[in-house]
Amino acid sequence: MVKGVGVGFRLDFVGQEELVRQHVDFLEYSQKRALEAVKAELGPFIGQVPIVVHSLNLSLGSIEAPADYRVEALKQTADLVDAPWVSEHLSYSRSGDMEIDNFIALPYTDEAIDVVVGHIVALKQTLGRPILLENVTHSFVWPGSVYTEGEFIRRVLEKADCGLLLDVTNLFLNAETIGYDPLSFLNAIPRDRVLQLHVAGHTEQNGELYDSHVGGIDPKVLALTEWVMNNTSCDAITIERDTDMESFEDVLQDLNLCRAIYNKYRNASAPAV
Amino acid sequence: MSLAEIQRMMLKVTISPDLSDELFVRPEDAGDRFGLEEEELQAARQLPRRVIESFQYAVAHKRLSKSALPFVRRTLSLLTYEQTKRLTRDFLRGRDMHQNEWAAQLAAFLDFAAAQAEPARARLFADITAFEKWMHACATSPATPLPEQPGYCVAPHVHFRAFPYPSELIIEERLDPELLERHYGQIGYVLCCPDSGKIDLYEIDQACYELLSSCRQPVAMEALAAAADRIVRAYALEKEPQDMIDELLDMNIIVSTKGEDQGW
Repeated sequence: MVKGVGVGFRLDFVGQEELVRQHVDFLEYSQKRALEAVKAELGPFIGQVPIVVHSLNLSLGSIEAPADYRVEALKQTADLVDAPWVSEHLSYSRSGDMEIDNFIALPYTDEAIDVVVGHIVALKQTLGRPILLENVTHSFVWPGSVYTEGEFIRRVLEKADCGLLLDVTNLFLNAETIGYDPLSFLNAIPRDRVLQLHVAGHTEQNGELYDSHVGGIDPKVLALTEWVMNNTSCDAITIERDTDMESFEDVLQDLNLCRAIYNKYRNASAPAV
Repeated sequence: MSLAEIQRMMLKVTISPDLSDELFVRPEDAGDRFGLEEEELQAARQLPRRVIESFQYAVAHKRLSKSALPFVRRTLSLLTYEQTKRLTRDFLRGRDMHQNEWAAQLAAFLDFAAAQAEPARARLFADITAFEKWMHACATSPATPLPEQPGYCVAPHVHFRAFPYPSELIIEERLDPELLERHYGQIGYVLCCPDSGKIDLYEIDQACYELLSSCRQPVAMEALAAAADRIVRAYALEKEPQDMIDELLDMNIIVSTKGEDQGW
């Protein structure tokens, strides 16, 4: 099982395998379509460090089921690295022939719950592995929701019997943008279903907040992370970093912050950084 | 409104500034188009306009990031965030990209950016967009075989051009408009070597540019040596003409075509 502090895999890590193994407990790999590319990128890490797989394009909230070839590619990657679990976003990004790379929040309705749960259950069966769903950032939700976001997520998790990849930065940004109390969200989530966290730095541009995965995690995000570690059974923190990064050393400062939180609330058997 | 209808409408709204404008300015037309009842139309109009417009830009920017951002980055850096957002949304009008078609639309986008520039910046935008279109053409043009004609010529994968600004400003993306305007007319020379869709840019000097220009098509070594000799004299270079040619041969920038002996 994956536990400890991990980081989203970047190509910049290739050639720094020893350093990576020294500092992280697991890697999170964002799914790529071609298995050969996955093998080429992850080769030195497979069997050396636990790897969980993060999917980006299944659009589980869409009416249409995910494309078979995407599910098959995901299964091949998950099998290759023997992923303890696979995660995907609780959102939609596709309708008919239209597809975007951004995630749109589902309306918080029973129909949306039924649709996404159906796709999650089918995916679980195909992959033969646990599925985690990630809360997405959103600045709008279709009017007419009958549940709060937290209540909606709880119902999906319980009905599909899956876990939550809680993106703490997304929660923070949503709370700031929409204007709700993040603790009321957290209190609606079943505490035993929070299995993995995402944390990352964010940016502000013209008064709008962006989940830009930069370096430097906001202290308020770290405070929420502490709350989660203190109040749920979550045992895996993952740092996401897409920019401000040329080598693995650039993520060490954020790793230290997360390691300190992890050690404070869990057995400090993992290596101190 | 069913989930399927909501998703179809929301996806369409996120890629279509025309539709979002219609929704907020002429809601009845949008309602007719999507078959919305009055109640549903009211629900759709509750979506925050500014947020939807920002999301449209986020969708476009992410698509650009995946396929074409390196080829528009210099142009966009001349604009503020709000200007970029407006330019992007204006470009998307009438172009509903159901999939990510930015790579195919890139040249049109750069032309659009140049055409939209305020008069005082028109020349700057024309130059920078021309440079980025050239980069894109270098990266996407199909590999050409070596000419049949024997001789020495610029390698097919190598591109070069002159540019009316110091090349380091362009290569290093130091694109402060005031700085560029101040240095306008200081000709820079840039060498471009595409590699698997990526672009490597190098600064070259005028002498190198002229030598490369002398062998766009295969020439005999004697002709190339004569050109190098003329250039070395003209610029009073402290190097032998042969060394100048050998450097470019060693770096595979100039190559020998079929049948030409590599030796002197």
